[in-house]
Amino acid sequence: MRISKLFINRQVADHPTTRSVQSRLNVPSESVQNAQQVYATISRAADPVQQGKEILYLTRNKGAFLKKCPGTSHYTCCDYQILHIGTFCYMDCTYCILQTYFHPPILQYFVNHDDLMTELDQVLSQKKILRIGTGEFTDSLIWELWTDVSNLLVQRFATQNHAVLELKTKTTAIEQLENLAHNRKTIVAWSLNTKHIISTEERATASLSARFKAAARCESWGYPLAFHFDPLIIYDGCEEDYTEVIAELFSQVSADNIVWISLGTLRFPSSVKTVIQNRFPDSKIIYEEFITGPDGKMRYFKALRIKIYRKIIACIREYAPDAAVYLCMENDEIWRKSLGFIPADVGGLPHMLDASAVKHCNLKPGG
Amino acid sequence: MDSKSSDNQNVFKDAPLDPARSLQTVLLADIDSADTTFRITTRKELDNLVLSIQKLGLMHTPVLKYNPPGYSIVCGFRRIAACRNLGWTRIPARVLRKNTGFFEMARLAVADNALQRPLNLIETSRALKLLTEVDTEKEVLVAAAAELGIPLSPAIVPKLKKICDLSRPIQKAILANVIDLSMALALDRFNAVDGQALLGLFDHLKLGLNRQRELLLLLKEISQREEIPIQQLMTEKPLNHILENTKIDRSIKRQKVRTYLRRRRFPMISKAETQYNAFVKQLKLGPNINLMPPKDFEGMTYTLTIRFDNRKELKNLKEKLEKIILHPGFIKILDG
Repeated sequence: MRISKLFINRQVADHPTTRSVQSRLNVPSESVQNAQQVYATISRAADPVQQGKEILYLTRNKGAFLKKCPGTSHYTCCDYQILHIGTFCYMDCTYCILQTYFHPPILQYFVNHDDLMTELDQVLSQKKILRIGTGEFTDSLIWELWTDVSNLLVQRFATQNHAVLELKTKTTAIEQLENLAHNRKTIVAWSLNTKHIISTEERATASLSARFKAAARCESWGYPLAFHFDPLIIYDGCEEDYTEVIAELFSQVSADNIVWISLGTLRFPSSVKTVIQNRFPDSKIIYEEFITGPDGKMRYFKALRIKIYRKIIACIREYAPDAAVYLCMENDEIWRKSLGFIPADVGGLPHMLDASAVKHCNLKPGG
Repeated sequence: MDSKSSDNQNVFKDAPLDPARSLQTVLLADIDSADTTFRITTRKELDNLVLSIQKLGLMHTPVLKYNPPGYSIVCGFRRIAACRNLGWTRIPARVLRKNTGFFEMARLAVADNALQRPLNLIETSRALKLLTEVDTEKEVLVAAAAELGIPLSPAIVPKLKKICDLSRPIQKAILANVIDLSMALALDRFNAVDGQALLGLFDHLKLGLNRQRELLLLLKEISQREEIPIQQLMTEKPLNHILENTKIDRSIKRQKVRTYLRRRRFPMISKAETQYNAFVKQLKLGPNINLMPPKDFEGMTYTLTIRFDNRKELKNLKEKLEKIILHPGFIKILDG
């Protein structure tokens, strides 16, 4: 964590959450009229992306807190709901698409939890099976040191039986989760990668062994788990390295307690390539064989994707033959050639994941 | 100043020429031609100028700045060099007043060149750099630049100003029209050896900007991926073999180099393309059927184009299409 300054929107200056973050962070703060003032500060920096990671902007989310996962056309999306608690991340992964997703990228936290909870209550009252996560526009647990948002959410989800909350992270900031009554309605999930990729491409993230240790602790506290091999990055020796990660994973946690495992190969808008070249000139991940998919994103040539998916899926199946393994943003051809079936064969990807959530998190559809 | 070597020893012995006087006779030995602060021209050849001065005399007097103990040139670098070549020892020159400002001298230097002929990219760069060297009121600068035909758009100025500081080989390539402004700036990001190797390739193949960009990207990305200097990549046997082949036409050579580098950069995609082309060849589709794979083989949407003039032709094509549908190779492509 390297937050050096706090910007506070005047409208939320007196909000209790603002005060709480302010006292926990203990860094210089500046009151601003609007986000433009913060953007101006960031844009003036030589590396606005880096600058955006070092300041924190506390404000109100004026839009919806719950959003559909943006997905992209032509590829199968899991129909996840995003709970929009904040944006961006202080960790610094070379491949992170958030570097160009927000203009400019800015570490921003929404303090109006009352509005968040009202909206969440409305959605949860529909009693539909829902998978909701906070780890799409940010890392779910980077906020743990300064906020109580996970605490709030875990306890709210624990009071109902048809929706699960997924907290997706590359950190080990799990301490606040220990004594919460979660009722298995919160899935704690980790993004996994090889030691090589973590050390070269995922700056300021927890080590692989630390992630496993944290996962094992969460399991011991009764939480269901999930893992995301995303992005899978191809390099010489990557298959052996991923095989090692999988072996390590199943030596640390129980296969039966894993709600789902997603796989997704590296993909990014072309704008991210330029950012990687400028910010991480030593990174080689963008020089594999990429094509531009029909959604405009760059992704590995399909033969490369199929090869690595097959290898990893076979390896996972050795340890967890029944685990819900799915591909993130892939088309039917890749599904069929990698997993041996297409989502439609199992009622669609959302149905497949809902069923796994029902099974592992004791959801009661309509309940 | 070596006044002893002067023909006019008595005049120059004790005091330098009055810098306030505009037209003076100045000893060539007192002019510092190495000070190129105000040099705009990139032209170095003097033969024509020497001939002209020899026949008609020095029609336009150079402009000098008094720079004790001698003089620096503001306008007339080539004229002064030509006079030296002719063995002259002194020339008439307009010496600027001591209090002439840098911006005023810059304007004179630029005008002396820009008002006679169109400036090339490097000369424009030098002119721009000179005019913006000192803080000048924006309005004055804009007026001066407009008067002299120098572009001042905010997007182009920083790029143009860099040009005159680029390495000599890059500047030379600009002057020889081998590369343009954007490529010059792109090449400046490479080390000297790689930059020179790329310049050599562009010159050898006489590539247009788009092709230069394409090859540059391929070479750069292979080099980054494999940690091989570009210069070393270009000495690889297959590429060298193409480049040194004197029997093939330059356009074929360009195509071969492009194909080689593309294969080198994208081996799997190139292999898939080769396999697909071989498969299509096997189908013997003829000139009236075209079967296109999805772009980059992503997805499963193939495009089939058929051309026919009458029902009989269409019927023939139908039979061919049925053969394609049942062809084991095609089934393998579609079903994996």
